[in-house]
Amino acid sequence: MDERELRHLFRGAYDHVPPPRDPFCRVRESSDQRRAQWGYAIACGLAGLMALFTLVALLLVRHLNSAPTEGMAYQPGTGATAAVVPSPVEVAQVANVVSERPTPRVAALSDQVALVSVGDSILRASDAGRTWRTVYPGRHDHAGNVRDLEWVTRDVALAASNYGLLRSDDGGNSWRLVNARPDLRRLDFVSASEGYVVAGTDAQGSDWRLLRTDDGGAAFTAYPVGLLPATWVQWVSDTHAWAAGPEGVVATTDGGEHWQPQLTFDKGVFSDAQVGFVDAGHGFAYLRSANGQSAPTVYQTFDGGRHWRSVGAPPDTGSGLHDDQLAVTGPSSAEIVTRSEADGVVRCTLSGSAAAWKCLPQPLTAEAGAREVARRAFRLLTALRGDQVVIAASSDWGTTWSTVEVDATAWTRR
Amino acid sequence: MTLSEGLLERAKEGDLVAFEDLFTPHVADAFRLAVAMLQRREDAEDAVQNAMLKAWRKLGTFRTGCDVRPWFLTIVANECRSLRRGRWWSVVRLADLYSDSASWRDSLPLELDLRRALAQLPADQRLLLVLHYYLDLPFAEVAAIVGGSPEAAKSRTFRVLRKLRLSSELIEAAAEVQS
Repeated sequence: MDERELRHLFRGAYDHVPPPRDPFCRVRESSDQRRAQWGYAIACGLAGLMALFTLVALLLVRHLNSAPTEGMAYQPGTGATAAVVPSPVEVAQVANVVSERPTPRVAALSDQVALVSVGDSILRASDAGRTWRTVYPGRHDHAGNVRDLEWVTRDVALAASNYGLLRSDDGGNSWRLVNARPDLRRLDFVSASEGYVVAGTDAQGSDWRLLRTDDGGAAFTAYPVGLLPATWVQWVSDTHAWAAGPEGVVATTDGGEHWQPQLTFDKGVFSDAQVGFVDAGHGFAYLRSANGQSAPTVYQTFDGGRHWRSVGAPPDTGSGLHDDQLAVTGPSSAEIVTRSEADGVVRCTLSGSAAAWKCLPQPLTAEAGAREVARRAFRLLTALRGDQVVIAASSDWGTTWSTVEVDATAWTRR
Repeated sequence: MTLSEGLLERAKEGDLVAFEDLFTPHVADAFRLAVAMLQRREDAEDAVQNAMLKAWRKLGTFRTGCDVRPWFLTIVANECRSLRRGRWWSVVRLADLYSDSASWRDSLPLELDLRRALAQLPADQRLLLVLHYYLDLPFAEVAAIVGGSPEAAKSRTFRVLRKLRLSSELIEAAAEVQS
């Protein structure tokens, strides 16, 4: 028996123990108590400050009344730079919208607050996905479709639709159109003002490329990274980012000054590519083919992409291209939600160093692509089934699910 | 600034979501460590929750640029020690490890031997074996958690391995590893 087998024995001895329940519950309780204490302290402090201000104001008034007014001049404040909030564009002005198949999308801010798109309607939940409220009703003609949803900060969220960029600056509660370009596909904003998007007119992705904005999405400029088409971009810090396309993966470590190829593929082998990193070191690349000529493949790296290894992929079930998506759930774990041939939703997970995918059918069926988002133990899954969009939520790493069905008749019958 | 450093800064400022994002990748290792140290699932959960609370409170003292994992595992290990100290009785019911009896029945004799032998070791010695052979930590990281140099951690680990009173097969395994 060698050292590897001894390690295996250790795992066999303890790995059957079920995972822990919420390990952060005491931190949250403590945080709530502290918040209550802070609330009391702040209230006392405010009362004291108000008393102080009243006293100062009385003294000031007394001083002004006694001082000569000559020589006094208005002093403008230096003022902090205002946050970039682009001006809204009238939705009614965007007349020619090319209708497309609805693609339910999902984005989570935390394990409580999340957004889901149904056509171009946007729903919001703040109770771990149990109840959903429509926060953006979409266009009246229901020709719209949200292609990507993203939380940027607690306040700012964005949605790329087939008639432009929708933006919320109040935590997803209200939305407005800030840019009417119809070719936005995917979003990666690094702040409320600076962002990168994938844009292109061809639904298959043959002309997709990267654009950049520094005014919150009001205007975009081309952002070449030496990769065309480019179907994905992800920044993990001010310096480190990756972009992916059918012909490979490129990366920058100097804030975008230089982009270096890390993975290269022959033209035509793949049609869509995605990267997903949790930090500057650990990440995945997921490559798929539209015509099924090449098996989908997932690559994994532990050193920021200097070395990649193939970790296979779940079997290709013929989900629409750009539909199923890899959700990175940890430094060495990822999940892909896809469909079986019988329209069942299948959730495939990769964890640890085993490099083997485990696929489990979920108690859901879907006729169009399913999307999943993961935040700690929270999983949120959306899929289109007939006239319904099914939203499934789990708070225990996907072991048990609760589902909500939202009527999507208007979108599916248009 | 890396994403982890960004999360750390936000967590230090009291952002609970950032704190959870920063520490979630280490929950599995922390729980495995606690299970192997305490041999009871409930105690292990308790230790990890306490350790998480201590990490939250002490995060301000953590230096940016250092690795969070050994720091957090040190807190977990200390929490396991104090949980054991706080319990005047120390009867270890091995079946407590499992919530379902099927898993317990499926255990192999060798694995039972290993658990039994580990349970008989002092906590500090058990910690060395668990960190290196179960969590796969290199000796440099083991040393950061238990204190001392990596060389000292290595030789102590091998000494403890020699002490394991296991079945004859495991003794052979231990001998092979040391050679």
